[in-house]
Parts: sequence; C-alpha cells; structure tokens
Amino acid sequence: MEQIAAQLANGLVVGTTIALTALGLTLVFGILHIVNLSHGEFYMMGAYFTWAAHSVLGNFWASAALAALATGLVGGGMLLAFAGRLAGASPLRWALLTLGFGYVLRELAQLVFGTDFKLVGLPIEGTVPYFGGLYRVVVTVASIAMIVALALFLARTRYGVLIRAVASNREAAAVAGVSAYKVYAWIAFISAALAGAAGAFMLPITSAYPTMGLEILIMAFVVVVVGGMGNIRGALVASLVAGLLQSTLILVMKPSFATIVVLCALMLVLVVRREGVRAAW
Amino acid sequence: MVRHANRAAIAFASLAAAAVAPLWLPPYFVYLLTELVIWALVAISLDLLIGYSGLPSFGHAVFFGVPAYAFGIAATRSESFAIALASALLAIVAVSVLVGYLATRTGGVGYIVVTLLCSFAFFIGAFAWTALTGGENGLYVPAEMSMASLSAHARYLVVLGIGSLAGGFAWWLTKSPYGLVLLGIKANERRMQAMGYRTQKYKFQITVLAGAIAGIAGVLYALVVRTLSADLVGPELSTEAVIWVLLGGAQTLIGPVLGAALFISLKQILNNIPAYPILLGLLFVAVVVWAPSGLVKLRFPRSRLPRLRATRIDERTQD
Repeated sequence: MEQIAAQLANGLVVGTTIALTALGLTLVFGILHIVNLSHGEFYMMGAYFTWAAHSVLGNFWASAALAALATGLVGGGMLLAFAGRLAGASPLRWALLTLGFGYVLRELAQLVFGTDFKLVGLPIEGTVPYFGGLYRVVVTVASIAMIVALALFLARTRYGVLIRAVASNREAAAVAGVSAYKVYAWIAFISAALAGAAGAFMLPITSAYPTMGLEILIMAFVVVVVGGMGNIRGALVASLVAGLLQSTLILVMKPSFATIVVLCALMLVLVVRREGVRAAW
Repeated sequence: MVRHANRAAIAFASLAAAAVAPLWLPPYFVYLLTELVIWALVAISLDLLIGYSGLPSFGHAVFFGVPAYAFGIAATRSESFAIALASALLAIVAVSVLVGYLATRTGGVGYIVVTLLCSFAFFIGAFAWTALTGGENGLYVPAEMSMASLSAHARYLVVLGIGSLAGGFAWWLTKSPYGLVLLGIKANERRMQAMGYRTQKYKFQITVLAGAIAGIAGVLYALVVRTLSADLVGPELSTEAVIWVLLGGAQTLIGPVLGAALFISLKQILNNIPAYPILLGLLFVAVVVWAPSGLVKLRFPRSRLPRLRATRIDERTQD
C-alpha cells in the first residue's frame, strides 16, 4: 500500500513534469507551427544551467529560476532566429532544423559538462505521509501553479488575448495591428522557459545527463499528439495519465517496458478517438 | 518526348555500368556498393512518401529494421530458409499496415510525430526485449541462412537486381495516374477530397507500399550484412534517411539516392572527428536553410518546371 502510494506520488511529479514540457511543445506548435524536436534538449539545458548556477550561488530555487530564464532566452532565441527565414515553411523543415539543434546541444552538453551524472542534493528534506519526499510535493504544487498561471495569463491578460488572436488567425490579427513577431517571441520564450523549469525541478530527482532530454521528449510528444496537436487541456490530461500509468507500471515491470506500454496505451487512444482538436482554445 | 526517351536510355546505361563496373573493384568496395544499393532503396521508398505524397515519415527505419529483425529472429530459430523469408514478408506487411494506420489516422503534422514515436517505441523494445532481439549485443544471422556463400560480386548483382526492380516500380508508380493523385494530395489535399478522392485511403496505401519497399531493403540488409542492432529501427537512422532525401532533393527519386551515397561517404570520412554530432547537426541546419529543395535541384532548376510549380503551391498551402 505504502509503495503504491509512493509510486502514485512519484507519478504526479513525473506527470506534471511531462505536462510542463508538453505545454511548451504544444504552444510552439499551435501558434508558431513548429514541430520542435529540440524541446527535450531545452529541458536538459534547464537542468544543466541549474546545476551550474547552483555550484556558484548555492541556493537551489534562485538557480532554478535563473536557469528557466536563461533556457527561455537561449532556446527561444534559437527558434526565433530562424522563424523569419522559415516563415511558412513546411513542418518537415522545422522538424529537421530542430533535430539539428538537438544534436548540437546534446554534444555541447557532453563537451562542457562531460557524460557523468550531475546531481544536486534535495533542497528540502523531510517526508509527507503517503506522498513520500516533501520536495516532490513542493515541486508538483509549483508546477501546477505555473500551469495555472500560464492558463490565466493566456485567458485574462492583454498579452494572452493577443497571443490567442494570432493563434486563431494571424492575418486578421496583423491587420488589426498585432505584431505577430512580438507574439512569436513571447511564445518561443515561454515554451523554452517551461521546459527549462521542468528540467530544473527534475535535477535533484533524476540528476542531469546529456541524453536526459530524449526520454522526456518522447513522452511529451505522445501527450501532445494524444491531447490533440496544439490543444492545451488535452495535453494536460494526457500527461497526468501518462505519468501515473508509467510510475505504477514500474512496480511490475522493467522501466523501458513501462515506457513502451504507456506509448502503446496512448497510441490506442488515437485509434479510438480520431485526430484531436487542432489549435482550438 | 525526346527528353523522356533520353532519360530512360541514361537510366539503362547507368544500370548496366553499375552492374559491370564492380568486376574490376576489390571485394571490399563491392561490399560497400552492395550496402549502398540497399540504402538507396530506403531513400527511394522514403522519397515516395516525402517527395511524392507530402507525408514526412520520421520513422522510416521501422519499416526497414523490423523485417530485418524478423528475418534474423526466424533464421536463428529455425532451419528453413523459407520460414525465415515468410516471417520477414509477414513482418513487412504487419509493420507497414500498423504504422501506416496509426500515422495516417492523425493527419497533418501528426504523421511526423507518430512515425517518430513508432521508431522510438521499436528502438526501446529492441533494446529491452533481449531474449528475442539480443538487446545490446545485437543479432547475428547465421551464415548458411544468408548470402555468405555467394561471391561478393554475385551478391552485389542479386541486390542490384532486386533493388532496381523495386526502384523501377517506384519510378513507374510516380509516373502513373495513381502517382498524380498522390502529387495532388501533396499539393492540396482538400481540393482532392472535393474532387471525390478518398485521400485518407491513398495516404494509407502509399505508406504501406513505401514501407514494403523499405522492408525489402531491410531483408536484403539482413542477408548481406548479417549483423542486426537496435539502431536499425531507431530514430537516428529514421532521421538520417530524411536527410538523404532532402539533401539530394525530394521528389526526384535519383536525388535521394545520390543524397544517401554522399551522406554515407561523408559520414565514413568524418566519423573519426570528435565533435562529429555537432557537424551533423549543423549539416541539418545548413540543408534546411540553404538547400531546402535539395542539391539535385540546385543544378537543374529549369528542367522540372511543372513540378516546381506544384511544390510552390504546396508550400503556400502549408503556410
């Protein structure tokens, strides 16, 4: 019983991490029409930046915030640098371009930080009954808070309205005087920063290594597809299901088999329910 | 159509040259050429999807690797060559139908993502299911179940023969009315639907067909190279194949073949450089930015005017 509860709590952490990453993916896809295959590397960047900042500052939370910011600027900047050049290009070209980004970033991480695991001690000690480590609970709450904040930002603020306007009809928004470029910049930044934050949060749990982005990218992509490409709510539900399913399956089978079972289960959703809502808000 | 006849003559002449020339080459180069023909077949089948149907498959290695594995697994477990071949053929059909169904079900960009995910899933599976696939150690096809008894040149001729048959079929397909429908779907799917074509059906069929051609290449690989590893179904090979097609020039058939040859030779040369993945990544970026329609089209921009117009319409609808 205790074990199952602990795994469920773990599933919540994994699920919210996937959700943070998948949100960034689905935003960039829904609005910039970019299939971002380097999103996992943004996640990795967040973890490494946190580790580097932590070794200088010593405070985990400040380092995590800095890392998310830095990832947002670097990652968002990379996407934005090519957004003008590839305006209206097919998704295939974007996929290939970001795949190239991924290769470069992964290799750079390996050159700079080495292949060994970089770990940071848990910033909060202590346990909560039935939930396991206190840190996991705090991280889950923080991630959910960030998701809610993003939803409110999109729903209520002026910038959120502009972003939704560009998402639903770029030409009409441009005619009405909305700068699409500014919106793109915001979305690219938010997307990469969310991935960076997710990486930062997972650093004390999984530690940082160059290929850490691959696993999360797979999960995030499944979630985005199953949730309906560009659909935020669908992605959220799917990521929680994926996280919980995977953590409980680990109790009975090898982790890699658990990943495959989750992949297959989510693919089954596709079979039952044809393409989700596209970029619908 | 003089140009048409010319092209056929050139094709036959180069095929004859390809068959005869290796007679004077050392066996090692013949072996390399044999492998290259196999990769060329993969590139051609992927071009059918990317170039002629607008279906960017990022999981093409699955179509290639799963039949190869099926052949290898059956060959290590049973004495009969026929059973091994039959299970490989079964795997070709099963995997192309499965992936094709899932990928065409989502439509649009979902195709990229779903094919990529399939590649990941099979990759993890090939690593994890050690009892069946040998896991990290890989799988060795026994010599008596392969083409090991043939001489290098005979092997090359067999592969070239099967390869050019499949390649010829692909070429005939792109010239047929069926191929035109596919091009129409690539340019504007909604209009084709309005004209009464069941585009979903066409997209599924061409995925299965291209998957089958890649599967034939996979079985040839198992017969010739005989060492199977999880990389053969993995995302790395899948994405590399996309690079072959784009580097050479999608929608040309010959372009992807040249792209594969160029890329594989480059890889052999650059493999010893430590920062090789960075170079590879930068190559991806360079291809996307500077040669979006491939190297072949850099050279002959005017010879394919009607097709170029088709791609331009395509780009506009993608916006």
